[in-house]
Amino acid sequence: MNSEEQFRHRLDSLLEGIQIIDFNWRYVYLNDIMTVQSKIPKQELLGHTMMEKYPDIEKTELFKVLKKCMKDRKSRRIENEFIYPDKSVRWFDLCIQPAEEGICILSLDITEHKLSEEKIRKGRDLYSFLSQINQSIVHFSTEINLYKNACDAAIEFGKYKMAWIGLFDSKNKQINLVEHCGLEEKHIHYFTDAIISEKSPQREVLETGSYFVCNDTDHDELHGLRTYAQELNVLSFIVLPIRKSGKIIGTLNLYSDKTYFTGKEEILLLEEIITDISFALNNFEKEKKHRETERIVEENEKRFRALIEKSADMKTLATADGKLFYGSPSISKVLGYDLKNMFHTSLFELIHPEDLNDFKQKRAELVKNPGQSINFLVRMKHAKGKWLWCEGTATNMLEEAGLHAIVSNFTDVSEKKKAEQQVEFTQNNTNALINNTTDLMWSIDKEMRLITSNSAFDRMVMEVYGRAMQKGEYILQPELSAATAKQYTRFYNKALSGKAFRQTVRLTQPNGNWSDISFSPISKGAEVVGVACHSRDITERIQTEFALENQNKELIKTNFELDRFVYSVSHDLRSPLTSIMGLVSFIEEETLEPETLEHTKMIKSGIQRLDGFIKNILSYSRNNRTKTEISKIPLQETVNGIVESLRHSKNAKEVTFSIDLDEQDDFFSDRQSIYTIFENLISNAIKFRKKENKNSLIKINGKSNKNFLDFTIEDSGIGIPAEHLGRIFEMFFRAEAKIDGSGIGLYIVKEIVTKLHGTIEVKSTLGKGTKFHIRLKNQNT
Amino acid sequence: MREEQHTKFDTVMIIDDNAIDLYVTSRMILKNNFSKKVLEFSLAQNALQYLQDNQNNTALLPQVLLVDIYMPMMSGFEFMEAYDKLPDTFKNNSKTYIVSSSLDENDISRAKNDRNITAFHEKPVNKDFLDSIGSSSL
Repeated sequence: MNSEEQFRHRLDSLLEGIQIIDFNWRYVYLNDIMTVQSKIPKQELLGHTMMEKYPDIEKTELFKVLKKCMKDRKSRRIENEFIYPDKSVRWFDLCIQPAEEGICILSLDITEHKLSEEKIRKGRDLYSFLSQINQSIVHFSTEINLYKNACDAAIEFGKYKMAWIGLFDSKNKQINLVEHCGLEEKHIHYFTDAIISEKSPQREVLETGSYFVCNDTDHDELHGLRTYAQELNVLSFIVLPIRKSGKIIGTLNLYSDKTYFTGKEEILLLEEIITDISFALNNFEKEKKHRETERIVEENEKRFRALIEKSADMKTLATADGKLFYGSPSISKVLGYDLKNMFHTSLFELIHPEDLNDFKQKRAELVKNPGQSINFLVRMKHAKGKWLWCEGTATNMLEEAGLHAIVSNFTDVSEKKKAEQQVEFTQNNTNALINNTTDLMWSIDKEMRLITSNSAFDRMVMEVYGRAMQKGEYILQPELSAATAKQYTRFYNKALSGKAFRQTVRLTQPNGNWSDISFSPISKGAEVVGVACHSRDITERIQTEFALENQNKELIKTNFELDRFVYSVSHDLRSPLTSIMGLVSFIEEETLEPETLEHTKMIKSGIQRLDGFIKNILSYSRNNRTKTEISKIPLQETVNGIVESLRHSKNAKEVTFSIDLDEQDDFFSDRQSIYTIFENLISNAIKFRKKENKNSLIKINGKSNKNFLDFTIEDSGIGIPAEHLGRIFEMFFRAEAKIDGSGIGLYIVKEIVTKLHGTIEVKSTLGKGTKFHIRLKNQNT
Repeated sequence: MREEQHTKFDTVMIIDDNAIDLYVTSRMILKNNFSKKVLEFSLAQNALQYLQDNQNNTALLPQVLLVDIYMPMMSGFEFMEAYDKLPDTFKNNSKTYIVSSSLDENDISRAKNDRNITAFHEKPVNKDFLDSIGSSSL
């Protein structure tokens, strides 16, 4: 062997793998160990580049180091985790050195070393887990705190991914989660009241009494649990039993996202942890029992003391025929007699005449039966004459040596009796109240079973079900129609959810009556335990309402028809009038006969009067029927418009108007109504002027603010006689026979003013003039 | 002679089912030299037919129409609906007035809102009313 061969041989027999890579990243040399380490035959690597063989190598940390060494020619050392195509992992200690050809990599398999290091670390983790549990046993005094701490510690110190504790139900059929750490909210329902299936880890633990471990959830037999493991991303787990007083009550479950996470040593440690937890649980249990015993003893003592202290039991000994010859001191205390005086009187003298016969009979029976006892409740006479209810037992001891007596023990129960009577009275009273009504009252419990009902309800049940309903019976029986049952189910459920409400319903059973039913939840603390219901027949009211509604509709229709009628009549009446008017005007223009002219003038005046009357009736009807439409009223414009249109009539030619309107705030009201009021009042002022006065003055004043419009019309006309002043607003009332009019104008004005929430006042002096004052609400909102 | 006198319009059409009103209005118009010619119709559909037949003959068409509302067969408003479909050339050269004894607010506002109606006038037709109709737009 030449030296180079020898050298090669030595290199090949080294424990370290050697590979030489050239500057073009080609494998130039590999020793035999390298073949073992890379699991690829030499021939497949030599002459090929690293990138060809490991396509992703350029992205790795390792490659960066190799590249640096290629460049700066300085040696380096790193630990590298190598994952084989079969996913197995080994760790290598790599020493990278610059070489003549490129770089030389020395690799030593340190996997075993790494694993033991890992093991030590894990061991350390578990020890801290254990010590944490021990600390919590010292610090926590309740089970739940202990469980919580165990789960937290398993994650924090034991490095498990998830930990949970579940407790078995009494039949070991189910397991229920009590504590957990690391579980996602959405997964929790897997562990609540979960059925324990055959061959499941939980069942195994229950049956073997030992832990259950699964090291690789992808490959081990899991009896249908694999999908859960996959969803939770669990690769290995261990289930350990938790014992209390020797019995397995639940399990501690530890899940890891690594396979083979829990080795033999770890299991030993975990078993120790479980023993500690069980120990702590036993301690809790003992302590609890101890406390319970203490409490019972204490309570018993209290009760006993109360008995002795409060006892006011009376004792008497009497002969067969009822003569008293002994009484306990409490007798003089309760009944008020001097004991000495009492003896040798008859027992019967103490008993109320109404109770005596019954008592005597019972006692006579007792006397015949030695050893027997009777109970009695009688009224006994107090020394001061009042009666006390006494309840007790009498025992025949006539044949007892040294006693030879009827022995009685009794106590004063007057207070109790009184309270009972009061309760009975109240009860009767309430019953009388709730039964003396036709309203139905009943209550149901959470399961919709009848708790109690009044007699009106019972009568209804009789009618619908044909039989009485027992307390505790389900309220919705098959005799009810499906619709009714459904309706009531909805009402009861709503009330059971805590809502109090009233409902108007039309019951199809027993009749088609309307009822107003109120449902009130019955609460016990924060919980709703039932519903109290009260139903009143409101058929009459509903029917009245219906009738009213119909009547209303009818009236609206009538009103509408009446309206149409008024318009149509007014049109038909006015039509011929206008024709006549036209014809008359021809006659007037075409004749020169003074008498004919006088006649046409009279005809025209008659026509105008009739026309005015028709118009007034129409405007009255319009005011009554139409709704007010609120809008801004331009006062100045409105008044000026009316004055302008009236000024042109022949009558108004000698009238002077003085108008002063102060619109401080915009005035809002119904335009048509305002127009009618103003026009009537202004035209009245013109109509009732003094004919002889050629300078009649009409003063119109108005002032609007945000609340009101004050409007006055003052004339210097003929005035109204004082005796008529009170009647001018009446329909068809006319104070002045000489002046044309229908007597409806002021009536309409008054009606409209009232409708607009206003007032109208009049002041007048006969022969001097009249002043109307109107105040109207500003409907600006 | 009357015919020689100047009149405001050439032709006025009156539509009214009431014979007396037709007579009164027609006479009032002629007497006051309001128009040379008066076309009297007691049925609205006949009036409409006349307008449709002569829509291209300006010489025969009225410049002013006085229409009553309440008439049998076809009411004044129904007439106005059909009137709306007549050519603009005619409508732009004529004025239509509703003349009625109705005091119904609905009628008055309906007349106000019709773009082809110049005004609503309460019967009877008198000189004041005729005087108020100007010929300025013609």
